[in-house]
Amino acid sequence: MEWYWALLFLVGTVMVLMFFGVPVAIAFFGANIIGVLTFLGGEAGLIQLERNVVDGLVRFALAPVAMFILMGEIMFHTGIAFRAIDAVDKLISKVPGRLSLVAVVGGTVFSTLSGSSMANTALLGTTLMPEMQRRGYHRSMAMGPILGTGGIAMLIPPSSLAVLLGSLSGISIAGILIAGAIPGIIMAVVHFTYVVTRCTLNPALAPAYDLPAMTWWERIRPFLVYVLPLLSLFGVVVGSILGGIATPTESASLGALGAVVAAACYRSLSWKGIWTAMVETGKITVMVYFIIAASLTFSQILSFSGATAGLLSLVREVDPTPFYLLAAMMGLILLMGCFMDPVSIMLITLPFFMPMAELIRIDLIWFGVLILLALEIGQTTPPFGMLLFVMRGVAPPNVTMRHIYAAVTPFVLLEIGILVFLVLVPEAVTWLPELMAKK
Amino acid sequence: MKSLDALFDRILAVTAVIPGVIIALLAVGICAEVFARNFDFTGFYWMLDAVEYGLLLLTMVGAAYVLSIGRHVTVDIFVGGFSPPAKRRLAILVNAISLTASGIIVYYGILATIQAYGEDSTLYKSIEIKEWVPMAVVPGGMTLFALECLRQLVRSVRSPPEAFAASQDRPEVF
Repeated sequence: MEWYWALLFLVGTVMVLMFFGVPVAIAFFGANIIGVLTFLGGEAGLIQLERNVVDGLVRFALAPVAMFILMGEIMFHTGIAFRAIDAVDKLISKVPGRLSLVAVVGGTVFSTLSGSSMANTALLGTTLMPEMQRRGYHRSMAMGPILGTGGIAMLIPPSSLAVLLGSLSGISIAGILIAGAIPGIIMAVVHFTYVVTRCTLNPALAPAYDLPAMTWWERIRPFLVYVLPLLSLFGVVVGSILGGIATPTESASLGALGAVVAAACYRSLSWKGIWTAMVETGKITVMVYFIIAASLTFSQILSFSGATAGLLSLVREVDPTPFYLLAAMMGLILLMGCFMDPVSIMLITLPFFMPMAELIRIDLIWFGVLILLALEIGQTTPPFGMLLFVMRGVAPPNVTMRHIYAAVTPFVLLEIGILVFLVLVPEAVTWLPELMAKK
Repeated sequence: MKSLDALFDRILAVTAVIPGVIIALLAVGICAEVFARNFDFTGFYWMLDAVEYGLLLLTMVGAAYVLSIGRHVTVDIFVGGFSPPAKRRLAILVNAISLTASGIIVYYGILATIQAYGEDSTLYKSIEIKEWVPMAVVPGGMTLFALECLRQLVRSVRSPPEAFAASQDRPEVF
């Protein structure tokens, strides 16, 4: 079979099964079984598939995904995340689009404490949406900034998706985690600026209202008490990696333990909260790992069928500039993001993208951050971005999917702009990891 | 039949909490290992292996429960606009495909485990373990998964076409 038929056959099988509503993991397993029977010689290949499931999951590098999810769930279910958002709310005084800015700043703060963009969207949607609606905020200014902060959560460490990308692609996990920080801050600043500009030009989007009279100390105190100490968790996670005390995997566990200690210090620790956080973490982790269980065999079959090598030789033949190849890869991720979840996109594309990136000799950490951002934008692109449905779940009943699509569009465009900026200015990504490497 | 269904529900209720408990234990274990290592105590050298095998165990044990509550990732682009009878037909197809795929994995998983047992091969890491032990986890977990697929298949076949709900998922136990 020619390589392009093999490619179409394998990727097509996965896509067809997925679009018929077969669970993604089973779609991969199904394609693996058909692929093994076609390319790997039947029974022996199927026995190898079993060994690959074990090898695919018995990987220490996968552990931080569970730990970062646990960290965020503890924050969420013990209630300390809500207090932090409330503290940010008090800190920001009378400015255009005040509550939207609370969403951007609060979302950025929570990004340093949680590795999950879904947790970010659910938290901000639950806490801020009712108040925004009560204050007469336009839907675009209420939901847009909340959805936009999902991208920040995935870039600023800790990020479960960054760890997953690192462990599946072989790119340095510590490198991607550190490199995401500056692009994440850039994104927060761009969102902040956009909200202020739009609400200044059109105040009707976010009507001003009188705040209860508070002294300066009353404003700043909740931030000092409920936010600043929590930021030490960010220090524990990133600092333990940079200080050589712990590996990225271990730092994630220290972060989860730190979240428990923080909850205890705030007297928010309860068995019920911890239990719910544990069980919820278990469900999300099983969902992600079960898809990964099928990944090793899928990339092996792609390689064995000649699809990977064929595509690479085509790239060599066409010899595109790195910029065009990069643009094509990012465009494909964005397109797939309209219909699929980030983990599935990674599993389908990485077996091709990583050899291509190595072929054109680009910085892999930079490449990893670009993929991460494109995946995250994909989570908010209509019609089927996952965060759009999370928002639908927490928004008031009168909000339709069309309202959500309209609200998120400016933020998707801003994020695509940031993606283009990071492609043109790689130093914005590579500067921090290079600085760390020199020390 | 109903008592079998109830028994299976009870088994799934147990498997619902195991992944979370394993993750919590791993988090505590990894932290203990980091502290021990930084204080020149090497008592937890086996923790890395324990984490790796723990990840395999929690995934395979929890997969069936996550399926039963409809939390596995699916792409429901087409399904959304279908009529109830069409949804039912599609659900039968999807459940049949899932049952077939998981059944094949169970069958070849058992063969692979028997093969590893016959070879008496050992995995030499920090913890010495017979190769068949982690391999047996896959057919074990996938058997539960296949049974849940079978149950959902039977449910979708028995469901009246016009009353078929978009979601046949069970309520979450926890």
